[in-house]
Amino acid sequence: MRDKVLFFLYIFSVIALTSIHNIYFFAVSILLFCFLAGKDIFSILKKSVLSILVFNSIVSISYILYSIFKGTEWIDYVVLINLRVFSLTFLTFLFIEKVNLFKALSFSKTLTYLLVLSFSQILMFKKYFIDFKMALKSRTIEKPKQRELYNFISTVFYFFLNKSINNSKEISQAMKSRGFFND
Amino acid sequence: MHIPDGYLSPITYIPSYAVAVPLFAYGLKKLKQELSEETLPFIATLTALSFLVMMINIPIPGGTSGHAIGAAAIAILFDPWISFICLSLVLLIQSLIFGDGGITAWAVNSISMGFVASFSAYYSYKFLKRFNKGIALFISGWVSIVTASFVIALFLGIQPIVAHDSEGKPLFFPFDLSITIPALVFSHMVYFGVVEGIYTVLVVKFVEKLKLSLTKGVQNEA
Repeated sequence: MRDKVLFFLYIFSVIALTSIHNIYFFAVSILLFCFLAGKDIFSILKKSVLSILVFNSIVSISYILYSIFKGTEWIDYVVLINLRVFSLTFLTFLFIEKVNLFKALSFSKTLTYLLVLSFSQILMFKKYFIDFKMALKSRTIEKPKQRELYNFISTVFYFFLNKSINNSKEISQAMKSRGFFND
Repeated sequence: MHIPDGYLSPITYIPSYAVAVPLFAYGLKKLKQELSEETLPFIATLTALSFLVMMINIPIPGGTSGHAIGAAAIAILFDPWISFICLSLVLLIQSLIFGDGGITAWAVNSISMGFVASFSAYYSYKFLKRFNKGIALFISGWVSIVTASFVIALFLGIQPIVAHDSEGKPLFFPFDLSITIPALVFSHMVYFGVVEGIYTVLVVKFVEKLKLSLTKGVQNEA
């Protein structure tokens, strides 16, 4: 129940953060989120900054150059958009840190199962992919040629496609044997 | 191409949720009817595959590289609805679990990178394969990402028009359609479209060569 309430609170906060356009509101919100983050504050700060750095820098710098070229004022917008994006991103990471997403989304059985299954497969596939990359790196002295990289990509894709189909059959049988589809 | 949080106004993202959520529910219902009890695990594993595709950097002639989204390959090999559902799930997991992309932008990202990319690729390939299969695959991959970028450019480009203050200053994404369309669509036409095209040709041809039996798709209809 706690996770569901927090999920709806998160959605409400997201709508509020995109509906109010006052920089002081964002400054107070960020302070509040930092307080709520507690001991996780620095890790969430780091993740938030890294996550928005590229996109926000491109948009902000482009807008500053565009405004200088047009002779218009830019500081209000740049402060507003950066505070807005930062507060939303910080809030999302805070939410991820404090809430069990699978419990929060448990109002839809199908969505929860899809998320749980997909996420577990993603973690497994990520691990396999890192192994593949390390295997390629350890077996090549010079930089692989384009043709060799294309072969590598095709083989990797085929492996994961095969694995997707086989895993889905295995999971389906496992779910069936545990009476999932009779519920 | 993902839009992060904070760049779309509520007047844009709330209606886009009203479109994306029913589409997602309809697609899921349709697949459940077709695939019955294998649906959930099948979609879950293909979602993981789509996630992985976005991690693979594909070199393109000229010395650079980029990643594909893989919508065209899955739409052609399986079904455009499967591709749409998988891409939407990847985007949801990326935004809610990995903090990549935004929850406010999920619906727009899902409509563009999931729905538009999958269906445009599927129908382009269906139409073009009678002329030349290899070229049809490349063009389908290219079309999928270019059309998706066009939709994203539209959503971003209308922000200064629909959401600005009393002085006309933007409140969300600052550049209008005259900038977003050339900037986004052109870069996808000459760069990411080529990556997606190469990726689509590589994987569909490879799977075809191995004669892997797949659930459904344009490949199996032929």
